[in-house]
Amino acid sequence: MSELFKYTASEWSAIQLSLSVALICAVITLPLAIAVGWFLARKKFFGKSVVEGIIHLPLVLPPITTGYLLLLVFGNRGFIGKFFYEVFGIQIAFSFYAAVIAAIFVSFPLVTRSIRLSIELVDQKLEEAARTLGASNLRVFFTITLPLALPGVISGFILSFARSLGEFGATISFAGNIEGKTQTLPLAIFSEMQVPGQEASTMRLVVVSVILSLLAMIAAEFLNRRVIKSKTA
Amino acid sequence: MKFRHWLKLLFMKKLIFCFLVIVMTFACTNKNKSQQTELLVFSGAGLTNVVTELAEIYEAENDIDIKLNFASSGTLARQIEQGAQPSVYISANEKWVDYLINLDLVVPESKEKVVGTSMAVIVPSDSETDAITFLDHFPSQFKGRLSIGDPKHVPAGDYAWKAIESGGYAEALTDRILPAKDVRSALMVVELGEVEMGIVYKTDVLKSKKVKIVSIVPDDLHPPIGFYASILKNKNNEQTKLFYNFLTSKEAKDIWIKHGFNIE
Amino acid sequence: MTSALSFHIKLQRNDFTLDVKAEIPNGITGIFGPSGHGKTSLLNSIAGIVTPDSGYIHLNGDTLLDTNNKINVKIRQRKVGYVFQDERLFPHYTIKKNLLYGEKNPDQEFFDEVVDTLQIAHLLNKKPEQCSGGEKQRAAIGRAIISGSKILLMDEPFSALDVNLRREIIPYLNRVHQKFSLPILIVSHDLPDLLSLTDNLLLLKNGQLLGHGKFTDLLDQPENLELMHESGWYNVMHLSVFAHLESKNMVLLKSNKSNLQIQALAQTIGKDVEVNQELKVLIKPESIALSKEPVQNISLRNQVEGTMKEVFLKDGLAFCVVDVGENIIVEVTEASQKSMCLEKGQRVYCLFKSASLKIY
Repeated sequence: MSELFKYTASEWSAIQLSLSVALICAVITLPLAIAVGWFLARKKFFGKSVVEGIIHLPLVLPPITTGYLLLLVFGNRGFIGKFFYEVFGIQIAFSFYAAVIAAIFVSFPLVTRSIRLSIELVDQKLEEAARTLGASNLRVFFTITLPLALPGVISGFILSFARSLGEFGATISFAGNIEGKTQTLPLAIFSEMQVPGQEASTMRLVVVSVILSLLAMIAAEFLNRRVIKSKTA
Repeated sequence: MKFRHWLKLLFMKKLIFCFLVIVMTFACTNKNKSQQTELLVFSGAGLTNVVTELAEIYEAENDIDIKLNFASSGTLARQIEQGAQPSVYISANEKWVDYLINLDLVVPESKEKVVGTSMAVIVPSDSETDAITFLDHFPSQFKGRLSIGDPKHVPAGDYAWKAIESGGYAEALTDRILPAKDVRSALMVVELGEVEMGIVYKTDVLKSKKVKIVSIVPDDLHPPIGFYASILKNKNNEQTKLFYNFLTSKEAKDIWIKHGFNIE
Repeated sequence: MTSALSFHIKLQRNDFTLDVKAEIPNGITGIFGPSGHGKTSLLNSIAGIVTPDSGYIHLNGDTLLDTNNKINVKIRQRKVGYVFQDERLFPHYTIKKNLLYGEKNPDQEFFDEVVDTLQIAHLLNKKPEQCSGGEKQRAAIGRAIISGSKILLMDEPFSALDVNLRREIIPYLNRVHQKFSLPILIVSHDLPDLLSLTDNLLLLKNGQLLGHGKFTDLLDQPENLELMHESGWYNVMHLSVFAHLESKNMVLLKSNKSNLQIQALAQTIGKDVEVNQELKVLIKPESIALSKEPVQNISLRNQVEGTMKEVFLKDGLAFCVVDVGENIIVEVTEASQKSMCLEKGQRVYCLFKSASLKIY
């Protein structure tokens, strides 16, 4: 039982790696999702359904498929990866960045959905009123739209964080299972599970995984309530 | 308006009903199938092609359905330990069979080495590297990472790593390994050109057009590679024994050799 | 007369085409018409929220729109203060932040004066949801004024409030007009409420301008009469307080321009009114009866003498324009009109109860 609390260096490394990937992913995804979410919420354009479909694809694709597709695009011989590899000598796949990219791709549709819904709920009449008072479009967005959509933005951020913590299929295909570099928590659990006799190690990692996810959800709830409170106070 | 609404509802109900019928049929069909004789075989991923072909031949000659599960041998041992119930377990090394024997899940006398092979160093087929000597400054023969199976649970990775250790390259390469979840994944990474070099079974390379062998790892640098067949205690019956014997039969030998394996 | 706002707007709507050309003077102008006939579209065009198909808009000499010369100033640059029907105060800002949204650093004196005029000082630190309907409306007005608007557009300012609250907002609007000399354009389908603020009206029906001018002048046109009749109309008389008749609990009101005088219940006039204070007295045409001679022994306090100017017959009713010092309309049955031989030039007495009066 005491084994349950002795975390090895590689286990710590997996936990820490997961947190870094998740945080960076959430930070990068958020502004992108706000921009795209706003666009989908407010603008009509030709081919909108197709764009929406593509954005939501990672939501329904098996993560392994997403990972494979990422390899095809960002791998050394891939469409985009080729440029980086040949011109800059940077290999995108099987690196820390690959883990972040995989996390971004799978969490982006989730966050965009959440933010888009929030923005759609913001009364456009208020935005209109703001314009009659002399506000530029940018000012309307930052002073009216965004503050009123804040609950959705916050949930989006936390969702992104939590989803990346749990991301497995795309990460293992695209970033690989390199201890210390790309072996995030789920991958570490998977590895331990493959080796017969590693119950204690697996359990330690699973416990952390559950706790982290719980914390993320609680934080989301808490932040949401605070935002709602501050609006009505 | 009301009529239309009612019509839509009726249509929806019919659609759902049809859907359920289809699902049930499939479910039932499967159930029916399972009432026929069926044999579940777990095999290390390195044997994917050859075992698949052997199973097809056997199925054609016998009235039985063979279901195959390929993964790294360690993963499979783990699954069996957790309750999976195949009839035959073929491992890419002895270690995992022994592990299951110790857990009293495998018939000890059934452990038999079927074939062997060698480890091959591979590169993408368009690589400039043509031939190298493994013992000649191996780490400097390639940039970046080396693709091998995860030594912890993939025998191919274990053999590769043992060879690396024997060659004295352990310290140089310990941070340059790209561990794959089974030997086929290790192969795929080289095929994609994500790494310059990898070590897999010689037999894996024969089917791939996207990689080429630049060296065969000397056999004495690692424990002898052996693929071991075994029978699970729970399924120690006639049907199982028949297939198990087939694996080492004369007919099967030709298939093994065709796929590049060494018969002892 | 220089107009504050002059425009000609053509805009295709779903059921009709809006085609209005007008010059709006300084002061309060009302736009009246049934709901859905283009009044809000008109305001939206002036504010720039909607772009007309063709036309022009000039505000205080600045061109906001000129389709011929491809000029179309953006909403945010038009300096049009739009007070929406649903106020549209920003829920996540305090009232003070709302007021300052259009102009972050207004002149402090100006700010205080607006707040004072609209009596919203006690609301400054509250959030909109903590304010009543009337308070929110005043805040919305204040916000539009402080943002530096050159004209105030008000869309149905009365419809959201109940009858008592309506009376509340009207004095504020008057005060705003007097203090800040902003032209105010008020759109409403509620004629009596409009009339309590202004005589200057634009009549809109199906997107077309039926008439523009003083209410009493508009009364001369039968088409206008019909439009106004459909919408529940009132006569408006401009009188000042002459004296308090305390023993009778009544107030005597007199016109500055004629001999017209009316007695009204002290309660109807409401809070303390002073002598010489100007009031608008409203009464429905159908609440007035006509007689050819003064009537004795009757409970009515008011028997106002006047001359028949015009008679319009319609659907068994006779709409009589009577000059009592101002033009008012009296509605009687055609039968009565005929049997009494009430005709042009005839001297008549307008009889009504003081309780029928609405006074602002």
